[in-house]
Amino acid sequence: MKCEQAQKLISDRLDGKLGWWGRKRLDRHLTACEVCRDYVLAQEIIQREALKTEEVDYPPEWWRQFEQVLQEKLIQSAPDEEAISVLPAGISADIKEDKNNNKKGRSWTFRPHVLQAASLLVVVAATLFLIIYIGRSKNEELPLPLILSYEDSYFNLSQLLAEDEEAASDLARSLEEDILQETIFFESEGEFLDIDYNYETENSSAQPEDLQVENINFEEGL
Amino acid sequence: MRKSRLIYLVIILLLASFSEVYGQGHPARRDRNVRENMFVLRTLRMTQALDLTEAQTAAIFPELNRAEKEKAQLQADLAREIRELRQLINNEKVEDREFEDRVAKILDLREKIKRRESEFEKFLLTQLTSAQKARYIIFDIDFNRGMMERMGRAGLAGKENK
Repeated sequence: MKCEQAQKLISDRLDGKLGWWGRKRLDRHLTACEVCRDYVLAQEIIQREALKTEEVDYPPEWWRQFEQVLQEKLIQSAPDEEAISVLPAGISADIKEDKNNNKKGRSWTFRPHVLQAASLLVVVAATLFLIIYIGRSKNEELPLPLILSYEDSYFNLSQLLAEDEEAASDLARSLEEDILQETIFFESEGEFLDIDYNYETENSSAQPEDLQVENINFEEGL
Repeated sequence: MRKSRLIYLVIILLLASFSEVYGQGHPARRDRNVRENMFVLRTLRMTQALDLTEAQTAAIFPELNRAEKEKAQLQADLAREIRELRQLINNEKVEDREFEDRVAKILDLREKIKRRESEFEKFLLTQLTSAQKARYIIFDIDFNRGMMERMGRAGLAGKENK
C-alpha cells in the first residue's frame, strides 16, 4: 500500500469510518512504515488539541486582550481592506461598521466567532508545523538520496541486508505487498478494485517445474 | 492495450511469488528475492509513470529483462567478492597480490554494472518521447529515494537487533 493511501485510511480511522478490512490493511502497512506511524501520532496529537479548544475557558478580559492584539497584527500586516477581508464575513462586517461609526479608535466588540476563527488558525498552524517538521526530519536522515543510481542504491541496500536476515525478509515481504497494491490499484482509472486477493506465499505448493514454466513465460512475455 | 499490459504484470507477479516459495531459507536466494521483487516493483511503477504504448512496451521490455539478468548476476558476483574480501582482511597470512587481484576484480565488476546500467538507460531514452524522458528522470530519482528510505528503515531494524 502506498503511504498516501494509508494516510487516507488513517484519517478515516480517526473519524471512526474505517471498516474491518481497511483496518487490517492499515495495520499491516503501519507495521512496516515508520513514516506513517509518525503520521498517525501527529494526527492523534492534532485531534486531541483540536478537541481541547472546545474546553478552553479563559476569562472575558483575556479574550478582549487577545482580540485587540489580533486586530492590531492584522491591520499592521496588511492594508485595511485586506486585513478585514481575511476574517470571516460576519467579523469583517463588524469591523467595517465599527470603523465607520467611530473613527477615534474604539475597538470592536467581542463575538464568539472570533474565538472560533482564532482556534481554527491555531489548529491549522499546528498541523502545518507538524507536517513540515516531520517531513524535514525524515529527509535529513536520508543518505545522498538524489545522486545515487538504481544499482548503487541496490548495492548499498544489499550490503546492509547481508548482515540482517530479518530485515531482508521484512523488505522482501513489504516489496511483495507493494507489488500486489500496484496490480490492483489503477490510479489512472481512479478506481480501487477491492478484490479479496489471497496472496499466499508461505503455504503455496509451487514446485520447481512450475517455476521453470513461469520462467519461460516470463522471458517470452517480456 | 491496458489489458495486455496487465497480463505482463501478472506474469511478473507470479514469477516473483513462485520464486519466493522456491528459495525460502537460502541466504543467496533471499537476496535474489529482494532483487527480483525490486525489479518487478520498479517495472510496474515505471510502466505507470511513463504510460508506455504497446509498441514501446514490446521494444523496451525484452531489453529491460536482458539488462536486469546481466546486472543481477554482476551484483551477485560483486556481493560474493566483497563477502570474501571481508574474510580475507581478517586473515594475516594473505599476500598483497591476493588483495590486489580481489580489489581489481571488485573494481571491474562495479565498472561493468555501471556500464550496463548506462547502456540500458541510453537505449531506453531512444525509445521515449520528450515528455516520457522527463518523467523517467523524475521517476528514477523518486524510486531511488524510496529505496534509500527502505534502507534507512532496514538499518534501524538491524541496530535494534544488535
